[in-house]
Amino acid sequence: MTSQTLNPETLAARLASELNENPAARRILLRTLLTDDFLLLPSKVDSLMDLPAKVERPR
Amino acid sequence: MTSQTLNPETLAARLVSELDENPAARRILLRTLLTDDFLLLPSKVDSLMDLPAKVEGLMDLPAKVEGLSNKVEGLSIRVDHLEQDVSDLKAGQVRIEGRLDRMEGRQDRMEGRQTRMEGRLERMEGRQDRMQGQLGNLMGRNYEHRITRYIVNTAYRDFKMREVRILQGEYSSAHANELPSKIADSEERQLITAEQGYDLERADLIIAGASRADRTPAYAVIEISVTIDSHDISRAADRANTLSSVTGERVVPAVIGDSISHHDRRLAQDSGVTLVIIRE
Repeated sequence: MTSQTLNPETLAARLASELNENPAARRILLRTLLTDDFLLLPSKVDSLMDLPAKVERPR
Repeated sequence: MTSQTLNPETLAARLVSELDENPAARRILLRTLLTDDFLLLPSKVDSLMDLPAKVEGLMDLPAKVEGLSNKVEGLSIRVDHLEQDVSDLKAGQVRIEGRLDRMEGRQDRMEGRQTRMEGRLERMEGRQDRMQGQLGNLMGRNYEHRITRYIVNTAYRDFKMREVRILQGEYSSAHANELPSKIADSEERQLITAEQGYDLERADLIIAGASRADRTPAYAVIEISVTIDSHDISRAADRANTLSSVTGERVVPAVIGDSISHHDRRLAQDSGVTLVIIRE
C-alpha cells in the first residue's frame, strides 16, 4: 500500500510518531512544509517593530 | 534502521515525499505538529499590517496638537484682554452711572428752579401788564390833559370855531353846569333817552362856541385817545348826535390822538368824524 492510498489520518499519525523519535528531522520537515504565509512572517513582524519609534513624540 | 537512527535530512526527505503523495495527510500532520497559537499567527499578523498606514495618518497629530495649543494660548491671551476690557468697561459704566445720577440730581434741582423762575416770571408779567395798563392810563390822562389845555387853539384851527368854552372836561369852567342842565331837560322832554344822556356825560371833552364862518352856535364832542380805534370814532359820532338832539345845533364829532390805523382813518372819514392827530 503506497502513501497515496493510505488513510490520511493514519499516514499523518505514523509520520508524527517517526518525527517524535527524530526531533532534528522534525525541524527540517517543518521548514519544508510551512507555506509562504509563515515564511513571510519575519519580514512582516520587522515592519511592525519600528512602529513604536514612529509614534514616539519628538522631543 | 529506525527513525531514531536515521539521518534527519534523509528522514525528512522521505516524509516530504510521502506527504506530497497524500496532501490531506500533510494538513493533518501540520495541525498535529503546530499549536493553534502558531497556526493562527499569519492571520493575526495580517490583521496588524494596516497599522503602519494608520500610524502614518497620525504622524501629523503632534503638529496639529501643537498648533491647537498655540491657538488656545492665543485665545487665552485674548480672553485675558477681553476680561480686562470688560472690567474697564464696567468701571467706566459705574463712573458714568454715578455722573448720570449726579446730572439727574442737578437736572431735578434745575427743573425746580425753573418752575420757581417760571412762577416768578408769570407774576412779574402780571405785574408788568398791570403796570403797563396803569402807565397807559397815566399817559392817556396826561395826553388828554395836554389836549384839553390847548383845545381852544385846536378848535379854532381844526373845527373852525371861535369863542370856545369848555362844557365838559378836565378844565370845566364856569360853564360846567350848562350841559348837565340841558341834558336833564332833554331827557325830560324825551328828546334823548336816559342812556343817551348818561353816555353823553362820559364824553372826554365837549366844547361850545361859534362858527367862524357865520357866528352861529357850534358844538364839538371830542374823544381823546393816544391810539385812536373804531370805538373812539363810533362813540364820537353817537355822542355828537345826542348832543345835537340836546342843543338843536350843529355838533362836530371829533377824535384827537397820536396815531390811527389806515383802516380807522378811512372809517373816520366815512363816518363824518373830524380826525386830529397831535403827537405825544
